[in-house]
Amino acid sequence: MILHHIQSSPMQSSALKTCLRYIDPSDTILLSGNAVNCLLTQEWQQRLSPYKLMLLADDVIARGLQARLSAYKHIDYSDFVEQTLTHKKVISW
Amino acid sequence: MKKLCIVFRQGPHGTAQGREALDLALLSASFEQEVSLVFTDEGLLNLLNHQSPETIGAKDYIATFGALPLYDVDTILVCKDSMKELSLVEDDLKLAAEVCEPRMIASHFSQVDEVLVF
Repeated sequence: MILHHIQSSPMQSSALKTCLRYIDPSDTILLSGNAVNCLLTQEWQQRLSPYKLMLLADDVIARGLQARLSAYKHIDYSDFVEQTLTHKKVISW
Repeated sequence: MKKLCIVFRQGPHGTAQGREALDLALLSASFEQEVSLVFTDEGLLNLLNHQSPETIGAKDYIATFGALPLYDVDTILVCKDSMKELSLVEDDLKLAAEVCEPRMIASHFSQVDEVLVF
């Protein structure tokens, strides 16, 4: 069980795309920074639907996307720390 | 002794990522860590033959890949999908690397202690 941490939008880097090539169904994806923007698009809503997905709340609020991304799980920093401990390892792409 | 996997994801010379990744690999190996390398996407281009980075004044760290066996870095995995995407064949690469399926790389990620992506 690996936590994949993505901090850049697919429009600016292929990190998320590359991560999906090596991800296991039991893994979790944490989107922070500009990566949260990708869920505004249909393409990425579909591509990420099979996976456990979390968004860093502060980055969503900072970008004024709380309402648009309300369908997804938002976590705060202490949840983030907890997630890193419950997973075998974290890969920051 | 930690199992450390270093992932090369970006092409050489345009950014310092490739050189930094190789520096970390050799340094960690010299501190007795069990280092393995994974090359994916344009990261494969680090291993391409016949490069001449000095043409643009870039440091030729590519030659240093040859030192990997001396540091006992023997697990070198190259993503088969990326090979196809970039239409590369094994002869194009300067290292004897294991070309493998993404799911083999995924299982390697779960077996090592740390994965660092450059």
